[in-house]
Amino acid sequence: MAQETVLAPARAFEEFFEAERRRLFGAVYLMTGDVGEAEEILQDAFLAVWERWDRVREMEHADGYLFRTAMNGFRSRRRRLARMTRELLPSQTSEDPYERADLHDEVVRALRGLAPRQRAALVLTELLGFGSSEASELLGVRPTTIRNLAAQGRAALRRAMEHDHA
Amino acid sequence: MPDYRSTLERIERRVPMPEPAIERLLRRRERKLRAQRIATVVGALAIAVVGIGSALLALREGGAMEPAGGASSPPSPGGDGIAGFVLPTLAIWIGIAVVGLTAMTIARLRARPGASGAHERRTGASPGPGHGPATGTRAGTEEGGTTMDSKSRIETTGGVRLPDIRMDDGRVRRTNRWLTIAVIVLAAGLVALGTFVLIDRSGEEAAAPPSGTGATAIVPYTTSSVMEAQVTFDGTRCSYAGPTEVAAGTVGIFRYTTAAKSSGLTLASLEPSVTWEQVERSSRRDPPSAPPSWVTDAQYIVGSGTLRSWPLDEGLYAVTCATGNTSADRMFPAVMLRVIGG
Repeated sequence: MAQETVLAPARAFEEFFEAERRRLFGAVYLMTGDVGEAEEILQDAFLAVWERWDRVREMEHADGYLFRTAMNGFRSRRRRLARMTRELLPSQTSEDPYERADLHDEVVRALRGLAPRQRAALVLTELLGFGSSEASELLGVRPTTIRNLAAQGRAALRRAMEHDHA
Repeated sequence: MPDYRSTLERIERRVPMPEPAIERLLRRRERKLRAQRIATVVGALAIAVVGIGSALLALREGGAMEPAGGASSPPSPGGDGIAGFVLPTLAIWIGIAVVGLTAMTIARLRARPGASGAHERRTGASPGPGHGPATGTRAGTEEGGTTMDSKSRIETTGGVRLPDIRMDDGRVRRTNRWLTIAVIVLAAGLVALGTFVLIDRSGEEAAAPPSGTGATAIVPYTTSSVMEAQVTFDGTRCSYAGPTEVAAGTVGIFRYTTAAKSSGLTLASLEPSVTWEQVERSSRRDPPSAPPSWVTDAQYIVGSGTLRSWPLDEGLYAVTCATGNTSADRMFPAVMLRVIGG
């Protein structure tokens, strides 16, 4: 009984990890467009949750905490990347094995053409179903900004989807 | 209306997530812990080097101050001034704090769970009963989201070995808080120590003699004695009551009394070869023209009942009463005063 009590948090975390990892990875991948970066953001977010698991598991929306942490990681990485790009121009681009295959898809190309903030707004509101106020908190911008960014993303996506169907 | 959600899901489903995800997560955790440990060791060593270096510097500065210019005065055990008392004491306490903090940091680092957990996962060995919890901290620093508060024990759940997560009961955070305070106190001590060293050094430099002169220190003006003299002038005769030969450094206090209007007392510095006859001859000129060339300097007081003190350097002086104005000046020498060098 005592053994089970000790082991329970690990099992609970593992179950949480298995339940959320695919959804988080997909969302972060759509935002970053890079498998490696998406995995790193996901791992950092899960490790942060792990460190505070005793409190996070008690939360009503532990997945919300996880996504918020991941979004913070995404934002800080974007900032760091922008700074590095400015400092180290010309930048070196890494080869993504998935990117080449995806570029055959008009929709993926359209998604790639969006700014990271537009992609993030689109993913949060359309894929993950967050409202504009929740998404604005996650991205640290105003709700109107989220609505504008998501509308721009949807417009680009719609044009690509229509082109695909044509 | 286009179904954006299903389109996005279609795209993200095409990208497989790198597997095995949980193992990769654990490996990343170990890499982070290793980086933290390295940062902690580097930080602890840096603090130790700076702290011990400052302590040694302070002990040297405070305990063995050499006299300026190599003069042979015995060094005092604690040096001079406030630094002589404060620095050695401060240095000892900082040294103790540095050694204690470094030892505590190393002890806590050795108890980190990362390496042993990784080994057990690779070998598949089950944890023994002695595999106790280990605290995960860095030396007195907490950064949100990077310090692992979990404690590890390897378990097997569904074929995946996952370190057990022990709830943080607050002890780790409290210890970290105290370590942080200790580091802050140590840093404050170092700043104070540096300030004292700088103050002490600036004081020493101000008192140091010019380099290359061989002198032990600048010799300040010292007063060996005080000489009092009374000078009286009745309009035709200037009389002097007081010593005529004094040692250099003497301060002469001259009291001047006169019945004549528009008169004053002059103390003229003369060239060493000047005689009393020259002074008298010069005073008989009516009216005197420009001061003689052998008068190098002159000081004067005007009005009856006045009192003036003049420091007397080595040389020859003439005490003279003077009357008149610019058109009809007249000099009445009283005495020649000789100031002999020490």
